Amino acid sequence: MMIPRLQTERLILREWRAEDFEPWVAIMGDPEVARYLPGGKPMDRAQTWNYVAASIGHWTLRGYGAWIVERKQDGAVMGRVGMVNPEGWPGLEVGWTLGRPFWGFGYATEAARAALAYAFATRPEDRILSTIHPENRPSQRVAEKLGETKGERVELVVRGSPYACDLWAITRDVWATSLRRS
Amino acid sequence: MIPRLETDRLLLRAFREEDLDAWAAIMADPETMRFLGGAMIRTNAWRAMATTLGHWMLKGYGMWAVERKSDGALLGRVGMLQPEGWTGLEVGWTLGRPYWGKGYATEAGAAAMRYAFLTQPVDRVVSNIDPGNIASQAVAKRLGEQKGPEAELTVGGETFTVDVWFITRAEWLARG
Repeated sequence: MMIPRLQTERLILREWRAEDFEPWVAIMGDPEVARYLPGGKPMDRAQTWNYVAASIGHWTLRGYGAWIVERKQDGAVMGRVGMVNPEGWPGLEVGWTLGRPFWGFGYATEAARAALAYAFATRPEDRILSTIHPENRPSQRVAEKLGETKGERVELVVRGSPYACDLWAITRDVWATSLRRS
Repeated sequence: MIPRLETDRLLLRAFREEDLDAWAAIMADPETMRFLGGAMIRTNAWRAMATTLGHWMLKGYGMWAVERKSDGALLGRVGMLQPEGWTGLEVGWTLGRPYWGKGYATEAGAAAMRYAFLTQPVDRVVSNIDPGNIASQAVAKRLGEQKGPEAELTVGGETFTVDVWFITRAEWLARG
C-alpha cells in the first residue's frame, strides 16, 4: 500500500525501506532504548528484522501504522513514530521510539505531534493512547507536552511476554482545543 | 503490491485483516504447530500475519495466504521466506489440520517453488524441516527436494534443529 508522508519543521515521517534495517539494529540493540520497551532487553538482528517486518505489515492490515523519522538536515534515520494498534491492543496508540543520539532535541514531541494530528484527521477514535513504561520519565514529558494525561496501569502481552505500562491518553476535544490555541 | 498465484484448486494471495479468525485457529492448533514452536496465541498470530506482509516489502518476495477456490476457506500459509540470519531462500508451507491429506501443500508448494526459481537469481531453494516432521518430508520429496545437512535456526529467540532439504535450479528444470 502507498504510505503517506508527513513533514514537520525538521523531520520527514516516511515509509519503511529495506535500508532502514541496519539503523534499527543499532536502535533496538541499545540497552538504554530497549529498557523501556516491551521485553526490556536489547533485540538481536533476527528479532529486529521481525520487528521491522511487523511494523510494515501493520500498515497493510490496519490501513495505518508508524513512520520512519528521518532528519531533513542529514537524512539520519532516528527512529519510528506513529500509530500502533496490533490485535489485542487497548486502543489506537501514537507511540515514539528514537535512538539515543537523537534524544534531548525535541524530535519525539515534534514527530508525535504530527502523528497525532494525522491520527485525529484520518480516524474516528475520540481518544488516542500512549503506552508508556512507568519509569520512562523522558517519554512521560513528551506525553505531557502533547497534552496527554496519565490513566490506568495495565499489563499488556507483547510477543508473548508481559509488559506493564501506564496508559496515557488525549481526547479529540482536548487535542482540538490545543490546536486552536497554538 | 503482492502478486497472486493460481493453481488448479488454490489461490495464493496477500494476507488480509479478515483472515485473522481462520489464521489464528490454525496457529492455535497444537498438532499443526507441533514442529513450528507450539500453539500460538491470537495476538502473536496477528503479528505473524503482519510480519509475513512486511517480509514482502523488505525482500520483494514472501509468503502467501492460501485460499481454496471452491469455498474461499483459508487453508494456511505457503511461500518464500528468508528473514535475517536464515539458511537460504526457503520455500515453506503450513496448512491447518482439517486440510491435510489432500495434496494442497504440494500443489501450493510447487507454485511457490516455480515462482521462486522464475523470479529470484538463486541456484537452489531450501525447506527447513524438523527431523520428526514426516508429513512435511513427504511434501518435500514430492517437490523433488532431497535431505541435506542439519542446521540451527533461531526464531523468536528460540533455537530449533532442522534438516535443510533442498533442490537445485538444474534439478528443478529437469523435472519439467
